Amino acid sequence: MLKIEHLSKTYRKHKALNDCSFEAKAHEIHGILGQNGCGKSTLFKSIMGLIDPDQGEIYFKGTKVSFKDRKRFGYMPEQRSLFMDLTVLEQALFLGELKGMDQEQIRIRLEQLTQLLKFEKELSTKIVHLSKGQQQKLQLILAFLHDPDVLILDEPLNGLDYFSVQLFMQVLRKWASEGKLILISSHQMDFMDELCTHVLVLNKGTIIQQGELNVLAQQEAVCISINADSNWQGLSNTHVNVEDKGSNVEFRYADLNEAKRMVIRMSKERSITRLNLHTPSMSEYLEFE
Amino acid sequence: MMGTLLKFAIKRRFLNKLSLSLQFLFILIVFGLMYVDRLSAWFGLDLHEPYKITFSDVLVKNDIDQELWENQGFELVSEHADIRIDYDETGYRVEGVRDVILKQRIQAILLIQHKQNILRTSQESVHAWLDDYENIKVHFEEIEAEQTSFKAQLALVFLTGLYFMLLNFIAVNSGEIIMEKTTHIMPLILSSVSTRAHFVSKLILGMFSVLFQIISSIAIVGIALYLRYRDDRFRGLIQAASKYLALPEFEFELLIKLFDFKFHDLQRFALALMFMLVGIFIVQLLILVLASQVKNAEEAAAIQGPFYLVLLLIYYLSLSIQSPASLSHGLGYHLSFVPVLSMLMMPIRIFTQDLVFVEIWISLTISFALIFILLGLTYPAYVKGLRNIR
Repeated sequence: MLKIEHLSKTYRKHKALNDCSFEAKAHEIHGILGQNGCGKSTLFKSIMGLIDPDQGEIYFKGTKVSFKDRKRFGYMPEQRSLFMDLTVLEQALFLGELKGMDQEQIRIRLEQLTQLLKFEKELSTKIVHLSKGQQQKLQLILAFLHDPDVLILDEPLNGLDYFSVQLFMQVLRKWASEGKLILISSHQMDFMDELCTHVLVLNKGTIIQQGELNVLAQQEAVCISINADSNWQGLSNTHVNVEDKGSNVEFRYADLNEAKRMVIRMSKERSITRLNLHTPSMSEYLEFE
Repeated sequence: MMGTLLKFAIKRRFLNKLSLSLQFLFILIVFGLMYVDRLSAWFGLDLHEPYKITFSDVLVKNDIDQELWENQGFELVSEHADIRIDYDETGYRVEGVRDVILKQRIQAILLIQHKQNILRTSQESVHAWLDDYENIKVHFEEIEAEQTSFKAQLALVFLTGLYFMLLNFIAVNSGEIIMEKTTHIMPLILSSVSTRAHFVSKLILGMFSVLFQIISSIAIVGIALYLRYRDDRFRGLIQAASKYLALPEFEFELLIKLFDFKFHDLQRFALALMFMLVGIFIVQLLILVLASQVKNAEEAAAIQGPFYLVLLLIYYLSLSIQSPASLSHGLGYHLSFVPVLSMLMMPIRIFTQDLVFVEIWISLTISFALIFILLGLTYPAYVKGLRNIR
């Protein structure tokens, strides 16, 4: 559905995106991960046409993305993007009409979405009187108002409580199951772990890891966790990534076979009191950087 | 989609509580001024109440012309008078008058009164001689230039008001862009509307606001004038003006005659307005681009401040070089061909001189050429200001 090819963008001397390529299909939820300033927002803005990339192409359904195609995209920016003096309905009418919907369509759609996100009582409330979490819900509703094919959500979980995050995830999963493609960035890794089907890790504008989360976890990355008192220091020089977590130590491998060999070596050379193999979480992917 | 942007912006601009309140206030002020005499009466300041005046016994014996005084707005009373007039060998003595205008009025009436008293006691021949002396007619030939100058001043007062009103509306336009940027709503708008459509809609909106304000202001003042004319042909208003502003009382028709508006004047006014609108369009174009570069509200003031200072300087410059010499071949003449400056200099020339069509045409062509050049140059800057933001 969406294909990015060799996308690059430089702001003066800062390389925000460096030759980024990936492909995403309907029904998928792609978690875009990376530290602050790694290029997530620039990638989203490039897809939305808000930034002109220096090079590279974006394709939607097989053809170069056009302004008309982008009307089929829904976008939720990182910052609050609302007219605070308007009511929820007025804001929805404005943005809905900009997307080419008529007033009747907007009202019906708004009713459905507000019910879904448990927000239906706030239609005539001025946005300034909504809580931060409610404003965030409204932003999601507005991004999805025109029933887009692609939904781009930049840090949508910021400022949400646990229950709202759960509701968001439930709704996003539902939309993905209905055939939408969702690209989402967030720093709340636990939730991203639960939500995303795919992951794309950016580091200083470069994609360093990408693919289906389950496949990646099984084939390309393994964490070996051993007891901290097992005299592990002698093993550290051979490992990709080691972290002392106090009571235990984690060894991370991008290659499963190498991990297996290490387990065998560990079991032979050291008195290991506890050994635990698990697939890395989203946050561990970030640590791979 | 541009229609949606325009509809939304117009609604936000004109159909909000503040705008409606200000419009209502403007209507109140216009109608308040138009019916100031009625309002004064309502507040107990009766403009028609005559001055109470009393005369000393000597004057009463001399047979005061009661009708003469009453016609001039005085009421003769024996007690509780505002003004008291006495007579001795040195002349008339008046007490209780502070107002200079009122002093002059009383002096004039007393002179008439005095003349009547002398005539009453003089011979017929003296009477006839004085009559001849006084009734000699002096006819002033009308000087066209003075009439034009009067009309020009009147038009310039109107254009000055327009100039500042229009500048204010440009500020609203740029403020909107800054607000859209600082509230981060811009990415959502630009993901649905092209930057070109956004740019054009702002230009249209700016000019629409300006024209709407001109038309609505003229309509409100026009309705107020019409209602007052139908009511009493401005008689009460003119009386109030003569009382408070020390103006002579006159008939409204005389005022119309004084203005002597002709179709030619309307043409001049339309031309002047066109120069002003073209100038405003250029200013708007520049300020839109400046506003698009603003990153936050603090920067907005820093950028717009000097811009308005320049516009104020243009205004004072145009006021300072209004001499006929400057306007016909000096600095004023040359500046009337410079875009932006021509929006004030050319209207002044239009109202004070008989311009040839070629001069107007050249000045307008230069301004339009600059508009086309600016559109080409400013649009990329506008795009850069609104898009490609990290």
